[in-house]
Amino acid sequence: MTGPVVLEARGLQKRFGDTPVLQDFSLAVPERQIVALIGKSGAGKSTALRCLNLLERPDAGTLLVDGQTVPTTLTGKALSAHRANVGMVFQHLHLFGHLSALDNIVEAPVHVLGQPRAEAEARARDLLAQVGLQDRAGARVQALSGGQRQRVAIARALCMAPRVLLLDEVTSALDVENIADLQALLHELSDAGTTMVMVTHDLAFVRDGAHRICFMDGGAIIEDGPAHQLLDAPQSERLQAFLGAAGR
Amino acid sequence: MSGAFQPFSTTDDQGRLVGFDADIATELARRLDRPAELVQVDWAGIQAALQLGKVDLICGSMAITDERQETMQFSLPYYVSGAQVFARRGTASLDGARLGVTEDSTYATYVHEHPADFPGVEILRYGSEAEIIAALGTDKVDAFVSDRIVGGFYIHKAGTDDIEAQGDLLYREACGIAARKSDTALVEAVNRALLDMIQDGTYAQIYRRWVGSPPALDVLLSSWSDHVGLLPQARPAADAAPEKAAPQFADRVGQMLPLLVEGAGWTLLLSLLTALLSLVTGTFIGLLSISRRAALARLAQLYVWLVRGTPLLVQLFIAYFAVATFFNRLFGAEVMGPFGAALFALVANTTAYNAETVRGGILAVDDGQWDAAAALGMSRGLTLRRIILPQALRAALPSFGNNLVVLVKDTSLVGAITLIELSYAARNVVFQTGQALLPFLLAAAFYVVIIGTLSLAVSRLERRTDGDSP
Ligand SMILES: Nc1ncnc2c1ncn2[C@@H]1O[C@H](COP(=O)(O)OP(=O)(O)OP(=O)(O)O)[C@@H](O)[C@H]1O
Ligand SMILES: [Mg+2]
Repeated sequence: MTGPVVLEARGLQKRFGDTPVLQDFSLAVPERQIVALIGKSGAGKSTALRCLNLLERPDAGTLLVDGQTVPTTLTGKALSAHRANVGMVFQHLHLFGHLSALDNIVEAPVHVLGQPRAEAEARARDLLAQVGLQDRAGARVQALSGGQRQRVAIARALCMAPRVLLLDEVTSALDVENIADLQALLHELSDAGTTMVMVTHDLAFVRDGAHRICFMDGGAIIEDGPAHQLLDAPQSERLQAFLGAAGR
Repeated sequence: MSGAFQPFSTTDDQGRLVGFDADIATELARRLDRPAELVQVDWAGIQAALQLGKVDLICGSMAITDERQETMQFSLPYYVSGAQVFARRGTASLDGARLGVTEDSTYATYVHEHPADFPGVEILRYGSEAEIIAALGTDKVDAFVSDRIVGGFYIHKAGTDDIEAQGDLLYREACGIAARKSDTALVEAVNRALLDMIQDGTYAQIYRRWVGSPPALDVLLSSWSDHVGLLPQARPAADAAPEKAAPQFADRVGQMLPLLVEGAGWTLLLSLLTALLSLVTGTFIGLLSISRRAALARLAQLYVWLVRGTPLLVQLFIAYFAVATFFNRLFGAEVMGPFGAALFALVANTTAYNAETVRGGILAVDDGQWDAAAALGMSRGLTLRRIILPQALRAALPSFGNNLVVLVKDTSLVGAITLIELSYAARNVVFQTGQALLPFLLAAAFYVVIIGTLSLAVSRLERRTDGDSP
């Protein structure tokens, strides 16, 4: 994986009150790569993701997309544009409850980008087809299964044609079969050009689901390497302890 | 006049004011060369209505007292009566009796100030003599104090000969026509017109029509000397031909219905208009109250706090006596009548409750919805409009429904500012017919239908949008 770096964070810092959560968090993700962030609960994984799309403002550090610096103090339209460029799939999905699957996907292109509805819908149908949900376009999101909902959430995050997709705890709500489907989907997306950073607790999933794993501890990435290598030959004691505790 | 004091003032089946006071007032207006505009004002608000220029004269059986003379100017007495105890025939003693009086009357004060004459008496207050007679009939009181003429009239009307006057008058009362202190010329003109009416026999005619017996003109005229110094010698003309007594209203539902239907119409119109307007204003204030601009949010919260911290009745009086008066004076015309004032107060009131409902609805929407919209590049305003509000309003629907039910019931208070809605219409029918129960039962039926229909509509809307909330 040696494409151009799409997303880069340099020395991000974030504290909530007196609690430092991110301390010198740095990460560079080349195009099409799937990076998994792992680490103990409370290590700051979700916070790191939220800082990458500026849902949370880092206190210090630099953010770059395609080599361009993105000021962390962005507001208004520029902030919207950055967030649209860095899509996010939440752990609890947060699908819009009052809208159908299709309308969940169409909402932002129509109302943020001002796309004509017909055009946005055509693209939304393509996205639904891509995640295997072409026949459920009109369904209310409550009427979908957990796995289907997650795929709607992924399609929704892709509707703004983001350069990077962030996924928090992607596997937590899925059963084994759905996890296998998800892995296939992520690789398809990667092949199609999407760069991804995901957070998960599922070490079996990341082994083949991610190209690269970053282990977070104490608010920073302390070990970083190809997925198999990092899982099979952990270098730091803390990663060894973490993997041991995870029942490996 | 209050319209609740037969035979002096009451309303006919068209809702028009009629009675001794009404006829005297109409005759006076004719003689003063002014348009006769009879206004029905609840007794409790009648003095304020005069002081604020809603009416120019109170021709409403108001007893002349020192206290009232401090704030108003009275004409010479236009009739003389007195306070009388009525009880069941054969009642020997009033010891420990339950005594009915009308609210805010001078009788309660008198009884209270003469405990020796009324040992152990318990005073119960009612809205009108008709309600007291009904209370006596259903054994809720043992005796009552009222005006001699009025009490006799109601007893006669109730068709009971079981109740009779007990003993002498407690005291004599002279009733005058009240004006604002500044209107001296008007009072003088009223005095002259009164004297004219007595001299040409019109007064006796009106008196006989409503009270049923000829007036004791000597008693009336001698009372004048108690109130002013010397008076021109009055020479009453011979009585005109006696007239038929006031027509009795058949206590059939059919005859009560027109007034009740009209009242229900006002209730419904007020409720629907208020509901629609306050949905918009309530949403607006609700949004302001969660605004990121602290000053705006504080202002909206202050509004809600103030409105929720004051009773609707007080808000109605403020709308009627302050807000409406302000606008009417500003434009030099009656731009805001009782209906406008009632609508204003009800909208202002319901807005606060709807604002809280909207605020609660918004806070109840999962924070994740904000995050998800932000992650798609949606602005705060767009998120509110497209994502949060639709879900918040849906979640708030049952609470809106509650507010609506409360609103319909709250309209029953607007009678206080002279708008004859359903409850007030029912009271009028009670005064008119002397029947205390049936009009209220009918009114209750109307309320049930109105509230039932609205609740049904709300729950259908809930069902139709069901599943739209997570
Ligand atoms: N909005 C917030 N305000 C205050 N503290 C927060 C906030 N968000 C996160 N934290 C704290 O920051 C720390 C890191 O939280 P974060 O959610 O990033 O951890 P995580 O690695 O995602 O954990 P998990 O695996 O349990 O999801 C925790 O101690 C958490 O309590
Ligand atoms: Mg997390």
